[in-house]
Amino acid sequence: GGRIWGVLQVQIIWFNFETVQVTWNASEYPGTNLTFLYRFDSGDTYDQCTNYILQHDLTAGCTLDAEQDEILYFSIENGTHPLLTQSHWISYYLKPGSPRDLSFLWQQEAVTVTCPDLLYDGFLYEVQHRSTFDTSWQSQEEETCNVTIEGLDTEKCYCFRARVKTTESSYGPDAYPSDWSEVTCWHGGQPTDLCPDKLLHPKFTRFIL
Amino acid sequence: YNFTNCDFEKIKQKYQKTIYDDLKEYMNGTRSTQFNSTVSCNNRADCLAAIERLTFRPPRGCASLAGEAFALRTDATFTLQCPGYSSAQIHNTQAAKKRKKREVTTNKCLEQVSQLLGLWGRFCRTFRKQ
Repeated sequence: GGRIWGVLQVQIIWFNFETVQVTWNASEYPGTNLTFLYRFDSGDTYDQCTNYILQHDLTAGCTLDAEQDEILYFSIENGTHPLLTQSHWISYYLKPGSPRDLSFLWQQEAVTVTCPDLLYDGFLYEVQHRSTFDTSWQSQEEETCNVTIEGLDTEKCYCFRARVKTTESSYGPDAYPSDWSEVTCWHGGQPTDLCPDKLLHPKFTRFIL
Repeated sequence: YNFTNCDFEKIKQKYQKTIYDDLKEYMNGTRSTQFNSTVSCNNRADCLAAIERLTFRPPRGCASLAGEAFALRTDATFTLQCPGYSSAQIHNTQAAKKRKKREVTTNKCLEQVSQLLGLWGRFCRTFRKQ
């Protein structure tokens, strides 16, 4: 979700504590190469972006290396005329990486899904599951990547996916959830590439004469 | 006052359980990201010092925050979790408590509280997984 500040719609994303991407929609300034100046300390002088994102050969964003949890001070200028000058915690726009190395521990009608936690607190780990009989995913989340889902039918085939969400008290209202992990499917406690098409429930069996 | 010896974990829990909601209620729907972030901090003690400064010494254009729910709870938390912290001596909080009438919420006060949300958020983000 971009935010509209002044006449520019600006989107900021801090990708997995590594790089910040600031993009702008300069439709108000057709044919203009806008300049992006930035600093991470209010006392420093501004530096110009060295890694512009181009769209139709015109500047439309900037990618910055950023591994510290700091305030980004930036100014987007048309020539020497500042159009927008802002400063924000880059954590407010964090998008964590997807959970990796998911592991599944089956015990009768329950499965515990685990994965390596991110380094810091302030996250929720959401696991979704669905069987071929479910029309939508069902969610469960915990403060650590250790989520137990109970009440599963050992006869059914289930698929699972996971993602990381930020908590508002630590990361503010505008941070992004991670992308979903890959979907993994299980049948009878064994991994399977995919769940077979929905088996017609005996009650709804139709006979074609 | 040096916040180095405070019980940071307990302060974080108190913030996440109550102070955060008080701050959000004060913002009354205004998003903290609507303001520029201008006050930074790097470590827990540094963040608590900045939080204390911004909570109890508001800028020009914002009469006082000390009587607000989040400030009273912040004061009580520091008094409980930080050895030797005594607000009465540090910033005359008692006077603020007597002023029951709610202060006018100016834009300057909203900006100040949005900085507080930033500082408290940064404080929480210093905690690593056990």
